[in-house]
Amino acid sequence: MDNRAEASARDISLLVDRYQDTVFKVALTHCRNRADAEDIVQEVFLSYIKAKPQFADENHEKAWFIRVAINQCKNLTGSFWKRRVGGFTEDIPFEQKEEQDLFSAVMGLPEKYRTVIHLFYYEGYSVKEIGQILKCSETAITTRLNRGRKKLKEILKEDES
Amino acid sequence: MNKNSYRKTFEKINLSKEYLEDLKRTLYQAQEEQKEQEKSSRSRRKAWPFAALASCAALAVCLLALAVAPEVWISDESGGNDQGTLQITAMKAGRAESENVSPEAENMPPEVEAENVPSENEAAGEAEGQEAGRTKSDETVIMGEGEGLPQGVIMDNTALSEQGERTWEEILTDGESVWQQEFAGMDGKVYALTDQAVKEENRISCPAVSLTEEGNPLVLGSIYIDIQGGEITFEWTEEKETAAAAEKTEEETAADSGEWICIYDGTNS
Repeated sequence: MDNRAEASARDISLLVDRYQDTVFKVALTHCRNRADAEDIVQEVFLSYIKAKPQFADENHEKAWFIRVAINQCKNLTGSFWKRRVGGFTEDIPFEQKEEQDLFSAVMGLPEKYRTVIHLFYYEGYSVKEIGQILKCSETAITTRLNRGRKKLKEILKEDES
Repeated sequence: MNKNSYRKTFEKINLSKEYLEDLKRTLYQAQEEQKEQEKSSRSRRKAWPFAALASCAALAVCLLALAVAPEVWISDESGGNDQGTLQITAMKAGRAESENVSPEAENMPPEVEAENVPSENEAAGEAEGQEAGRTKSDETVIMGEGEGLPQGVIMDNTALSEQGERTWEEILTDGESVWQQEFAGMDGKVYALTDQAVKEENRISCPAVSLTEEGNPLVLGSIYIDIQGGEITFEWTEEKETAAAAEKTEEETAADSGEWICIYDGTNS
């Protein structure tokens, strides 16, 4: 491998290391199963190679990856097969019961709440930033976040009881 | 639920190392393919102005060639190309409208090779011996399209004559398709057998005939049509001069109109 090819491979490797976790978890939250999420991860990075987008900064870059991941998820879940057969929700085993309950509760939420909650709690985005990524108003994001939290609480309470 | 518990839970779900290695390999390959594609499309983009230029140049050459030499190049008997625009087609003018056109004549092939035009000597010899009922299969119209050349010089009357439906005089003087020209110093009606026209270097020659009392053609000489200027001249053939003169004095069959009749499409240039 010559220097340029090596540099190119290193760039890709760095990019994957930097964003694979974010993309995978957004995809998993959306699709609710590992296999689909892995496919989405590959598609997102291939899109990056094809589009070669230019970014103002790292935040912009990360937001682009999340946006593309969500779009790919919508393409997949909107496909004829998925709509007819329905998504397969994977039950990922956790060592601790609380973690298992939380994961199951989040996966039990409707899609529009899951993504907002994930971006807010895991990625640490503000309501405004989530609105920009999902192209929704801040009010809509706040509403979804509140309703999602409420539903999540109800589910977790039910689990406790 | 707080951010920490959520984060802690989701941090435990990760892609496997194997998957990530495989993903990196796949992406690296895709990137290399992409680069190759870009390289080839870049070279295509670079090359297109030259390709377009070459196409334009070829088009310009074609247009120039058309502008300079609009005439058709045909092959003459000698095998060389000559710019003469001699085109032989089935006779239409006058004939098509005639009620006497035979079915065979209608079915004749529309185009006859220029090579089929007989040589001057053959033509003269044939014309000399021919009669109203002669048998000659070619039925042609000779269309001249050269500069100044009278257009639509016709024809072969063989098929008609063969059937005896029309006399030579009828055929040669059939109104709208006949072009007449007077030749100084000539008496009587003389016809150009344009179906036996022979293309020479710069001119077309046809046997010139008059009609005997029996209505058969008698070759008197040759009519020459200049391809460039369209000028029409008459030349006695030496032997025929005497013969014709003798014919003329003996039989006095030639009419006194003093006209040459060439067969033509009616549009005198």
